[in-house]
Amino acid sequence: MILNLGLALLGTAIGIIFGAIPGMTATMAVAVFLPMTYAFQLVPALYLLLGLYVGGISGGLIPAILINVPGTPSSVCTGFDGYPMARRGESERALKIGITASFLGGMISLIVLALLTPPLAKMAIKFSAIEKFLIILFAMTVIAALSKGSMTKGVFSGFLGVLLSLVGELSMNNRMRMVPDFLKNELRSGFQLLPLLIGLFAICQMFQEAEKGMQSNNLDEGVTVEGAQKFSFSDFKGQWVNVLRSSLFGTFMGILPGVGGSAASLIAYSQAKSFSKHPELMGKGAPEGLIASESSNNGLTGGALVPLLSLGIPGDATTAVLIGAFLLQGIQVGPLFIDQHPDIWNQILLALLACNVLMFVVMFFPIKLISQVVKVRSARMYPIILLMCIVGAYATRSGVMFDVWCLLIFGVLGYVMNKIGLPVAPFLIGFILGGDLEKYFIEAVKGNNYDLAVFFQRPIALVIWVLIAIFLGYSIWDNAKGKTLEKAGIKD
Amino acid sequence: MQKLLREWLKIRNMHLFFPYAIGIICAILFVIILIQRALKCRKDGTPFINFKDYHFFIPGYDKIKLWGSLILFILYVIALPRLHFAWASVIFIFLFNVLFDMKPGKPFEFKSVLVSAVIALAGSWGVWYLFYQVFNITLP
Repeated sequence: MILNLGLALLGTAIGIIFGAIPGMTATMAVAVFLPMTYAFQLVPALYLLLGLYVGGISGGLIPAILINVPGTPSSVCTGFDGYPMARRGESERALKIGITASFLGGMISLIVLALLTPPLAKMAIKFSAIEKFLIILFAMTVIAALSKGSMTKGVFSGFLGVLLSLVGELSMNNRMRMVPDFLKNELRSGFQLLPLLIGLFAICQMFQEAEKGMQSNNLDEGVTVEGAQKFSFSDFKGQWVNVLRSSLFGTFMGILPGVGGSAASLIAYSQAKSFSKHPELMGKGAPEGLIASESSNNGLTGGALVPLLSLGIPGDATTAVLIGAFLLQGIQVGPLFIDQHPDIWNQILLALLACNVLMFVVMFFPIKLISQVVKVRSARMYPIILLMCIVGAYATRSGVMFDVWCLLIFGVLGYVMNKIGLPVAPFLIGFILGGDLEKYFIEAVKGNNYDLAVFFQRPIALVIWVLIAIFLGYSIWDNAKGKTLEKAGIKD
Repeated sequence: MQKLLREWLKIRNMHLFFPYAIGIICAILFVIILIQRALKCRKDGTPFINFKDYHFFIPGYDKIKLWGSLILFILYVIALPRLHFAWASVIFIFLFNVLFDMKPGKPFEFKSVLVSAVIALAGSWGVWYLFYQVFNITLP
């Protein structure tokens, strides 16, 4: 237990550093440290990775408040009120309000995770190959939602991911497909998840930062962490409804796969503004805006784990990376996970609780020290991150140099995809789900005399079709809204 | 349809069904993207292909750091199996540090180079020790 808590502490602290450096994200932190978990059992690995996840999401508030640059996309609204507070000499107060709101958001999402996942998984146990195929199809519709303003490109990117996942040998007939002769040995089991995701999320980011010249972020001269007005828990007086509402928004946005932290933060912020007694103060340094943004983005952490642990579908890019930890240990997440591994399930809840508490302790008390992280220069961080990425890729199959080349290939691919406007997260989710999509389709069709009508006959299947239709409708509506906002010059 | 599926999903063909199906879906989606772009260009009165105003890289991008990092990465991967992991890493992490910390007009400041050397030595041997010695993970 002490080792687990130590790893959670390490993960949380490193996650905060990643979150606090603009350009580095929680997803990147989890991807870079995933290889380290080779040496651990699943439970200690989860303590480390969940620490990175919670720390990474929470750390984003530091630069958002101090330099008005969100450290992570989910802190996008934090600077709206946090930075004006810092400018008027309330940095410490703003940071501590943000940290407390993050903690509360994380705890509320943990309760929802604990209550909602087991019944959802119990329902999913009754699924046959038909429903499993449809659930994955449902997740593919989620891909559409992931790509605000460019739905077709998002779906295209997702299917490219599926296509790439089919490279290699099909275990059902032991035949190879889409593999050139000279790579038969390297690609027998297809492209490996770890080099792919590290390449897409870490190496690609390194190229993007190199393109921008590895610029450092400096504290605004008018901002210091010391402040005349101190933080007090009475700052939360009259804000409990805001905390609860924003946390639940964040959690349910997390459950809807693919919606993402920035959307959760924006929706919670706009709701807080609608319900505020003084909406005119929002955006000018009102603590309630800060509370809404931070409680919603940490609410996302527990929410995103609900579809992962009950259905085996990653809720966001970070949980898509987290699935790699389970795969490394040979554990299948999905409907049977809680029944087959109740101890691991309990440990996940405990780990999330510990990581939230540790995040609060690590950030709240030494906040002046932690704030110095924004001065860390990415030029010095990226070479070490690269080193860790190389180790991770090479260790995937205990020493295949081709996997290191894949790291470079997918890094360049991610860079090019970003340049031509093809979203990367749907590509990764497509790659993760592609193999199962094929397996369940073949099983369902072969088991039912090759009749496609079977996908429309069972009641649960019909319910999933209705969900797919609702979600597709939402995606189309959201996509149209994204385009309207883009035309108006407002970026999500 | 049933007959077609039965033929496609015979054991000897099974591995080809999904790649073809997904390939066709990708091709259709690609055509839809092109049509959407054509319609948008017609509406906005802009040409479908416009190389003149197209910039793949951001304006004034750092050519040395971007291309330098790509070339160093390739050389690093080539060097890894030929040299010891830690030694190859010391050399290339040092070069990456120098490259990324380069300032316009003053490419090689003594202090920056010294810090780069310390990070390269400590980082490379530190990672080697942690992963190889402590965690027993195979390294190049």
